[in-house]
Amino acid sequence: MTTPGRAALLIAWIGGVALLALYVQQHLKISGDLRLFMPSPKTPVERLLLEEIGEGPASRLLLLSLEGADAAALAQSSQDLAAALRKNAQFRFVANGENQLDAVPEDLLAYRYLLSPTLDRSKLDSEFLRRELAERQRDLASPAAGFLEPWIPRDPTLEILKLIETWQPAKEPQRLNDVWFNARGDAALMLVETAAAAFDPDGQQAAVEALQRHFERTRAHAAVTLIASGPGAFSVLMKAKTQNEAQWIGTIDTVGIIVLLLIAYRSVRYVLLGVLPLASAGVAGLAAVGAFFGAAHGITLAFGFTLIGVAQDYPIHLFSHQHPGAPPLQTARSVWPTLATGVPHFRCHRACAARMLYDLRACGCQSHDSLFTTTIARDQCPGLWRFTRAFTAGLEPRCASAS
Amino acid sequence: MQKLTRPAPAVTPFVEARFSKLLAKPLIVSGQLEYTGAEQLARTVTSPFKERTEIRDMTVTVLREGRSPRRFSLKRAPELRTLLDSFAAILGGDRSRVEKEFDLDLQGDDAAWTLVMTPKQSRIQQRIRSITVTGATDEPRCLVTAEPDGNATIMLLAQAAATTLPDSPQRAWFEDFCRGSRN
Repeated sequence: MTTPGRAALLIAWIGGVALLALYVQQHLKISGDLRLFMPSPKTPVERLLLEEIGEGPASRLLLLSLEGADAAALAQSSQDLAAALRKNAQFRFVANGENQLDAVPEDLLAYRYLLSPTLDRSKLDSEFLRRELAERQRDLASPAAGFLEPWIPRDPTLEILKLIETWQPAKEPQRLNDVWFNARGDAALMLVETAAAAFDPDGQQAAVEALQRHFERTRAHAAVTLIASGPGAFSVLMKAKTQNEAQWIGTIDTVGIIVLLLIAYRSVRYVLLGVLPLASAGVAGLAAVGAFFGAAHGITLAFGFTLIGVAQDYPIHLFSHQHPGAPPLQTARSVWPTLATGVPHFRCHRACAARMLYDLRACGCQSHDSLFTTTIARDQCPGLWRFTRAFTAGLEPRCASAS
Repeated sequence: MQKLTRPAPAVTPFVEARFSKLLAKPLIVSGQLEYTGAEQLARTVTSPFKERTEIRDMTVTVLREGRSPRRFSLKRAPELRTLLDSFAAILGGDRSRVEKEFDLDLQGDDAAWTLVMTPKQSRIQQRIRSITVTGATDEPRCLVTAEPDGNATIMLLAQAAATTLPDSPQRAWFEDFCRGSRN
């Protein structure tokens, strides 16, 4: 191939990779939802389990503890924080032990007569209403009037109060200054339910940040500190930790491989050409996943890129077998059959079994093979991605050597 | 204020009129208040029905015939909290304690005085605009709790509680009475 022809092929290839990268950027959604890794639910029980794991109240609960000051300041903080969180749509439910008539969620309020046992025992007739209204008249003259009065027009039989009394748990944390405290009395306890699902780290992160913001604004004393725990808080911690580690390990890896290639081949051109299969493979794999599935989990990508290190081997094999004076195309022809066995997995499988390959390649094959055929039922996309990637990366050195 | 100070327990009859937007005419109850110490107050209604409310250890218990007791925290009922505080102010003579929670404004002379208490905390202000205590010499006459939405509770105390009320007393009548223009 002529020099202009090679240059044109190289530019066309890089252009193709860039276009694919643009496509990936626009079509592939990187998700943090761990439920992408769960098997597809088949039975109603499995569906319920999966739904509860992600969406159930238990998984969306955050346990909060306010510490560091005296009980009065902690209780004040607890009440002010609860009042602020109740107004924030990121939180569905906030409990701190206060007996609040408005603690009943608005969407349950409409069903108060269904939930309360009152009308199971008595009929809603004029006699019953007369008796109830007489009670309300007395309530208006009692010291409880202040907080009952706003409810009387919309709930004249005060079903909501009966519901709250029924739902009062038999066992609950001790109350000091009207709110929940731990047994030692040095930490005010709260429960909040986030609107975001537990395994949605972005949603949880937003909720935890909102929580922290409200806390800063409402704390009664500078010494009061907030500790949050629960599945949501864990997923935020996990996300921060994995992101941080992936970032620095990835940076070290990249720098390491570039330095290694520079030392080995003493040529910037080789390094750049050597990166091309890896980049092509990654982008092609992501584009395929984007086209077929639309979304992939961050961990899938990280895991995929770990395995894709294999793609880096192709140019290295080519460069290492290159002798001075020999045309690259000839070298590629001699190593191509071996490299090709790593591309389609069924061939790879046979090759591994026959132990015909280099040890390194065999290991690579096994990891490909086992992951490709593994029945992570809901997570077919990494398999597809790895396949497309291996295929593209395997194709590339041949083309590169042709150029 | 010192003149009003008396040792606990102090017992006084009361007549209370509750003015509410939900009520076509004021609800009038009468009974007895027992102030037994800084944080303790019992309010017994004897007419037109029987009910007893006790405040102890920051908890309010409402006992009504034929009903299980209803309990709630004193914090939930700032009306009651301020009532307790005003009793501490009037009967206990504990001015400094009351000034922590209220701005105090005392006007008039021995013959007719008016003490206006305005809550300092915005949370209490949302429920209570002011408490006005009127009286003469060493005896309180009226305790008016005004709420921001126009509702109010007017309490006649001590000798004033023995006053015969008109057939259908209106708010204006009570207000005039408390200012001392009626006897």
